[in-house]
Amino acid sequence: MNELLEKAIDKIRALPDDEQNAMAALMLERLSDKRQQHETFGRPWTAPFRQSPPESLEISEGEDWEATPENAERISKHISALLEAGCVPEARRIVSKIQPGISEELDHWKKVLAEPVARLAGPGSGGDMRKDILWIEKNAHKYRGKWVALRNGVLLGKHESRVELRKILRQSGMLSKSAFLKL
Amino acid sequence: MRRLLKQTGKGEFPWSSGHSFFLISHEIGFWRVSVAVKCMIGSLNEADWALLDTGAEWSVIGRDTATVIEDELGSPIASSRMSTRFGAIDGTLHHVNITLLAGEEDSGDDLTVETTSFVSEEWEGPVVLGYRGFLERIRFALDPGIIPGEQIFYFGLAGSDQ
Repeated sequence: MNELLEKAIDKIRALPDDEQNAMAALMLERLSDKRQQHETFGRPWTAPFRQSPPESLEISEGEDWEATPENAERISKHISALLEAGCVPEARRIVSKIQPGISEELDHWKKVLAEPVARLAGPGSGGDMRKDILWIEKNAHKYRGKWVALRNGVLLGKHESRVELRKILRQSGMLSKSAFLKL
Repeated sequence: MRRLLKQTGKGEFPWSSGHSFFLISHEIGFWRVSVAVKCMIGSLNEADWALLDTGAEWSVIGRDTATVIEDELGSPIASSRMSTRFGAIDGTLHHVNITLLAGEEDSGDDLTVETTSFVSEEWEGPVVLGYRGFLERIRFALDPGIIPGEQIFYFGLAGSDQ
């Protein structure tokens, strides 16, 4: 056994029982995180679920399909499968031909697959981001695993839960113009 | 104000309408976010630092952020699956506004996209700004600078040439 490891084990053995258990649990958790990090390194954050597109939709053999309440569920499943395969243009093409009101699910697809619209939204409101970035570079290591809220390089609060942190800031009137970040 | 210009036969025209600074190699636990930009989700009063990911099909919003905008999201209707570095997750596409924030004075305008985002209770990563429903409607450029603090994210409306 290497010297460093022996030293670490001796130190842990010298702890009271409950602290020994806590230390062992922490080490196992860290080991598991490291494995997870190794397994995910270099992988995309997200990717289509399916490797290939689904077969084309045929409501009845040899005929063009038409959306009706009777086949709405089947069309909806097909759209879902197209999206899971990353075939968004094809899904958009299909929903653009469907009239509204046939089913709740088809209306949902029509809504969420509509082309996005962008517009200017008034003078910049992001504050002094350089100060936030400087704070993050200097201090992030102190708050690992926590949510922090910053404004112009000043730490407004920290918490394990974003929802709780938000509540605290709202109650103290500091929520507006804050920026949240998980460290 | 700093802005990028496009030169055509008819003269020079603004290419970008706003800019901000971006965060590089930010670590969340053991994971590294290569490029993060500041944005506002829905009608929240606060901002988020989000992963800018041209390789992501959709923008993704996880449980922590979805919880605080749940009134705006509406009920989940048709769900679908997505593959992620944490494994497959289920979620629902929702219409939600996401606003890219320009910096303070002389940084130009914020830009809002009425976007479609994949919302999942199971997503453990950062808010992702992906291609479909978001980046496909804006133009953007990253200036990596030379020294820390020089990293500038330019953005503007797609197809807004004069």
